[in-house]
Amino acid sequence: MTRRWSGVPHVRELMRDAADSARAQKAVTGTLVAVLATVCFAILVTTGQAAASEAAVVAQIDTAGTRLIALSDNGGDAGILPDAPDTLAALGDVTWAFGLGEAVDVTNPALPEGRAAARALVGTLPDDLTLVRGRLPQPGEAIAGAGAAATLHLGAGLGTVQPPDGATPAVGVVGVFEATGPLAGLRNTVLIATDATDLDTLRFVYALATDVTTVDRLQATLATATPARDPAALTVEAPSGAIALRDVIAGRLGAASRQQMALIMGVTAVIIAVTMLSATAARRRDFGRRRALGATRSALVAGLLTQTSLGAVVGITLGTAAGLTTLALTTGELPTWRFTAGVAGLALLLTLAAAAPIATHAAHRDPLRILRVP
Amino acid sequence: MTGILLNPQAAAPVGTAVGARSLTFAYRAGLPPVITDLTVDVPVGATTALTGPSGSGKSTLLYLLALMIRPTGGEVVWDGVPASRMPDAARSRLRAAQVGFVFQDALLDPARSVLANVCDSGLFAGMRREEAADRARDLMARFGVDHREDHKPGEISGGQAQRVAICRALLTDPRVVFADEPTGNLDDESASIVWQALTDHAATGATVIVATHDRSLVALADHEVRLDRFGGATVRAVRP
Repeated sequence: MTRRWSGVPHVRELMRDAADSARAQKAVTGTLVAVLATVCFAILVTTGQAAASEAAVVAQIDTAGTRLIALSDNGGDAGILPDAPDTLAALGDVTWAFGLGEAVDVTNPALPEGRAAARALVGTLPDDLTLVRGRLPQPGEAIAGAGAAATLHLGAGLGTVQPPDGATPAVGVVGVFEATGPLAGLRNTVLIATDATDLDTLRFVYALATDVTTVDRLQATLATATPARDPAALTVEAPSGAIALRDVIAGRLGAASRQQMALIMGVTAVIIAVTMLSATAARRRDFGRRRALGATRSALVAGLLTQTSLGAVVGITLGTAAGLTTLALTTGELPTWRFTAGVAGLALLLTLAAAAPIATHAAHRDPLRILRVP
Repeated sequence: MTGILLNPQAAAPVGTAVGARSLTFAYRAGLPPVITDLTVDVPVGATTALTGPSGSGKSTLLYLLALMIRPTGGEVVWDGVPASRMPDAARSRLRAAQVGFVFQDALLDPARSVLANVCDSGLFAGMRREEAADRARDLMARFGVDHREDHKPGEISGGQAQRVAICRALLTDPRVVFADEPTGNLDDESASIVWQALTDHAATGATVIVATHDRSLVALADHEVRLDRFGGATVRAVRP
């Protein structure tokens, strides 16, 4: 008995056919590859470089403390409770939090001519305080900022510190840290690791927001959520000026990049559309033949778009690889993977958007007019 | 005009695969119709020639019966069921599964190999590529073009190209084969091979409909539907 077919092509076979068409239509596929490779390369070495620079500038601004919120009890009236750093660190928008107690003068009992401020430290040692010598302190031990260590003549960062009046016992210094970014002011301070239970109150609490966009919200939250005897007496400071500067710079750089990219993409869309138009015009009879053989319009459109996508993907891959390599060799700055993936995705979408109406038009041509031989 | 083809002497199976009911077609509104009120049944297991002078609508009727285009009025029926108003996708699937096409100029894809061209019809019918290639090689061997399977269409003769087109049309073992001037560009020997292929396929119980102006071919057909310039037709059994 004669076998009857379903008339529904296998998707895998359609894909293979589209790949065959892409290989067979060398001029069209080559043009697509060249256009997309050029576009991705151009965007990456121009807009991509700008985006990398923007990211570097923003990162530089961020190191100046756009995410750091400081709570202070300047008059000593707010009474920040010692468990405040732990409470704040548990909030979702907070990366870390630590607290500092009231400052007291200390000297090195062995060489008492230098004086530095010492404060109790409660909570996690932040990233901006980098240990350069020794080790992290256990409760009851201290680490000295590099400036304070020099002032106190703490050779190799080790020794002891004690208030000048000798009323309290000396504390062992086990390390030296370098303070950078917004906490650079602590460079001249000795930090004494302290259990929260050993303190009555803190004078300062610092909290780092997970993202600069959450700073405003977090600032409002901390004003009320910080455990204190009188929260209304707390001073909450966020670097609004730095954030505004960051936004302005990021906005201006971003706007310039977007305009440049939109221009390149617009030109690309036109080139792709013209390429597809000439390609489908050259294949009019091929489409008519396929329609006669039973290809549905949607199968024709899908095949054309798949064929176009294959060429585009090759071009995008080549252009992206070339662009990233060029940037790495010339500037050393690479755009983020999100930017790179975004450019690739946008280029592919643009290709499909430019090709879709032309493919649809080609699939709707009257096969009779195409196939008839005068 | 109404004309029901009778086929009293035709070999079994007897029946109608494709027909037209009061079929009318005009290329555009306002233009005189190319086909007017045509009713015809095309018998199964036979070759039917669509003939007529140039411009009488032979190719148009062929494409109408093949559900490639929609009539302006009336219906094309397949197995007694109105088919010309079906959605385009359904008509395409019907063509893919049950129709073979032979065009006047072979109409092969010049960028692909001869084998790939033959396999083309299997793609839309729902064949796997490997299965289509196996069947294609069998057909190409039968028609003496198997040694050309890796060649491009531009590297073979016109007669070979039309034999390749026959292979493509028969790949899915279609119930109905439509051929539009299939021997128009061929020498006598190639034309004979093509015609023999079509009649052999009809002998398996398939319906073969050929638009042609070649009277020598008409003489070999089982039936003739002769179109006139005024949209009408006369029908007769050529070989009762």
